[in-house]
Amino acid sequence: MVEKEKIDLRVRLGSLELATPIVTASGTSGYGLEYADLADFSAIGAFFTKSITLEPRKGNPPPRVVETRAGLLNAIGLANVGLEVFLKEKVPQFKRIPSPVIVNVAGRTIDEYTQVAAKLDEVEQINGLELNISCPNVKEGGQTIGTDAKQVSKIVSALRQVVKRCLLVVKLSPNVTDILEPAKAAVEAGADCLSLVNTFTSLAIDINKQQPILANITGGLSGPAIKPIALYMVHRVYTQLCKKANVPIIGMGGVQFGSDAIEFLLAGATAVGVGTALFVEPNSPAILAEDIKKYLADRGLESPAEITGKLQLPEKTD
Amino acid sequence: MPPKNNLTRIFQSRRRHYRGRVVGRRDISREFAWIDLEAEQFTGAKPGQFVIVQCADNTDQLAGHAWQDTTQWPRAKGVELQDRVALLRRPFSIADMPHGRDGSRFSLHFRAVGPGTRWLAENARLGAELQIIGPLGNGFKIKDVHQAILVAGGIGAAAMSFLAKELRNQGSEVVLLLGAKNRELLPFSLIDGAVIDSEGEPSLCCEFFSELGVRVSISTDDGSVGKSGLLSETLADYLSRHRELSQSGTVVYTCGPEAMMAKIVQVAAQQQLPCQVCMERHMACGLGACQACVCRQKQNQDESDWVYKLVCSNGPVFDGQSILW
Ligand SMILES: Cc1cc2nc3c(=O)[nH]c(=O)nc-3n(C[C@H](O)[C@H](O)[C@H](O)COP(=O)(O)OP(=O)(O)OC[C@H]3O[C@@H](n4cnc5c(N)ncnc54)[C@H](O)[C@@H]3O)c2cc1C
Ligand SMILES: Cc1cc2nc3c(=O)[nH]c(=O)nc-3n(C[C@H](O)[C@H](O)[C@H](O)COP(=O)(O)O)c2cc1C
Ligand code: FES
Repeated sequence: MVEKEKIDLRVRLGSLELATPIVTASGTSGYGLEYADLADFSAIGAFFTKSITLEPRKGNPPPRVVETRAGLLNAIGLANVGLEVFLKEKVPQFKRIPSPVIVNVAGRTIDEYTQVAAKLDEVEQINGLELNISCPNVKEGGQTIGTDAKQVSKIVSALRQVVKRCLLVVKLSPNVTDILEPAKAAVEAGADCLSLVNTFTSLAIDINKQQPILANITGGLSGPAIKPIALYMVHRVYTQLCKKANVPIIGMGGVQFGSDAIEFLLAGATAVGVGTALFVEPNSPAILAEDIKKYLADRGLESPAEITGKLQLPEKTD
Repeated sequence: MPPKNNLTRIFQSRRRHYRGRVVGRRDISREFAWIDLEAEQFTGAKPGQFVIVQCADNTDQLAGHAWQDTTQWPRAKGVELQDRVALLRRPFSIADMPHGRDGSRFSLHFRAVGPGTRWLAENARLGAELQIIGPLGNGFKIKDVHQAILVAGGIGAAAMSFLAKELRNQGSEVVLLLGAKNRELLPFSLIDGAVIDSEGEPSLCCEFFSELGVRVSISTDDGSVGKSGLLSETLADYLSRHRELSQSGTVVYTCGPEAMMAKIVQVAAQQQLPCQVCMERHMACGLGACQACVCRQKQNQDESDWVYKLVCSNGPVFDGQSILW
């Protein structure tokens, strides 16, 4: 047993130091201060904003969300205020966020992504950029880029040219046959860090109306329902790529309890994102961080990094 | 009692997050119930504001999904095989502040329609504790209102009781036009022996409201009680019988199904009466963070010039004329 107080939850994510391994998942915690009086921000390792695009986007018509068994389907459609308003109205709030801030960037074309990223890279209050090439709810950009390894390579290379100061995180789509392919493309093109997974393209049906429930027809599935698949993907990318390449992973998908976060760490994540669970409990980061502490203390460990990727695999017997 | 860990500290700093203890409960009919909650320091709520409530016991204690030293790792209970368990919090209007705006007591009035509200009906018994975030949203504007006409369809009435009370407290005259599918689905009980006009003329016939001196008109789609027909017709008839109302200081307030509210706004507009609508949308965060709960608002007379507004944080109350339905 190690004294709980002695445990140091800090983790390194490339050039950034996070106070805890728990980060907020993009799109679930707004632009910054929406949860200010409901969550202990000192427990947040890094704050990930909603996706930002060059021009403001209205997003999809409602209904935009529907709950399914142990999950949530959303088709927000990257509704956001656009780069200009973001810089003017949202960025100044970042000084009240104690953790590093990572801005999620989206666009319709590679050129749009590059323009937004170049601009944000110059903003001192921003510590990282997360490239959203995995949104399932838009017609152009998003997942159409992220599911094609060639496109991934192209866009990450382009961004690598303009992102000089910020940590460059690439957020992968799980809607592929093998997530290793876009992951490799991103790492080879110079990503500092990978985050996975975004939501799974899904459908919910109203059998009385015989219609889809979401106005967008399909949405992206998040929440506890996707955790086992997300874990598998993190594990695969870690063991087959990131471990050797020494690229940290932010694992996410269905994290609700402390034990879920620990599973992601064991599977190979350096930090863990929590999204849908924030809607249930905005203070989840503090609760999860406490639970990780407890787990480490019980095992005489002092840092979350000690369990990253420590999944013990049975010896092959064939 | 599991020992307290330092989560207590974590939670102390949180405003707007409450444990509400059920101190009163009344089952109105098979589907409708009213509960009174006591939550320390829950004050200052306005009519039209709402709370979001955890409607499942996978996270029933204060830090219920956190580690407790004497127990095991927290797990979701009642894993969903046949029945869906409510994952997200559910929004409910604040139906009353029985001890006034500064009292720590508030009421919820709900209809059991799905997993979340059925869980509430089952579990919100005397002494139970609910996890609540609120008050949220903007609330109705009631300043300088002399006469108020409240129009509520179904469980939309939940937002009207507190509104009626606050309006009465400031001396406004209030009537409520209440509509439902049929007698079974009336959200409030009718007073024994009360006379209910089949033309929709309001009377002191409805619990809660009669104590405030608020007359209520009942209409049902099937005519099983009160006037038969739609609320918009009831309102139009009422306004034509009460011409004195088309003067300044009269406001129509409405909450209910969207198609109904759209018609109510139209009828009010024909008489040049302002109309405040309380919108409903599927919500995820309730706090303005996720962009789930949008409705369209006109920027001017031109219908093609509109923006999305968030029902949870820009609303739920909007100027009815500004909404693009
Ligand atoms: C601001 C606001 C205030 C509300 N106030 C009250 C209230 O005081 N009393 C009350 O009984 N209900 C109120 N509602 C509606 C209530 O939140 C839903 O009935 C509840 O979320 C249903 O949850 P469920 O799990 O029981 O059913 P679900 O299975 O989730 O839904 C059952 C039915 O309700 C619809 N529904 C689900 N969630 C919502 C939602 N957020 N808004 C509209 N429809 C929904 C579904 O489409 C479905 O048809 C309010 C909603 C909003 C947005
Ligand atoms: C309502 C909602 C909005 C989201 N918006 C974004 C977004 O703008 N950009 C993005 O990269 N991911 C977005 N996501 C995906 C989450 O960041 C996360 O990858 C996913 O939800 C899985 O994690 P979870 O199960 O913990 O929610 C969104 C998810 C939800 C539920
Ligand atoms: S419910 Fe999340 S923004 Fe309104």
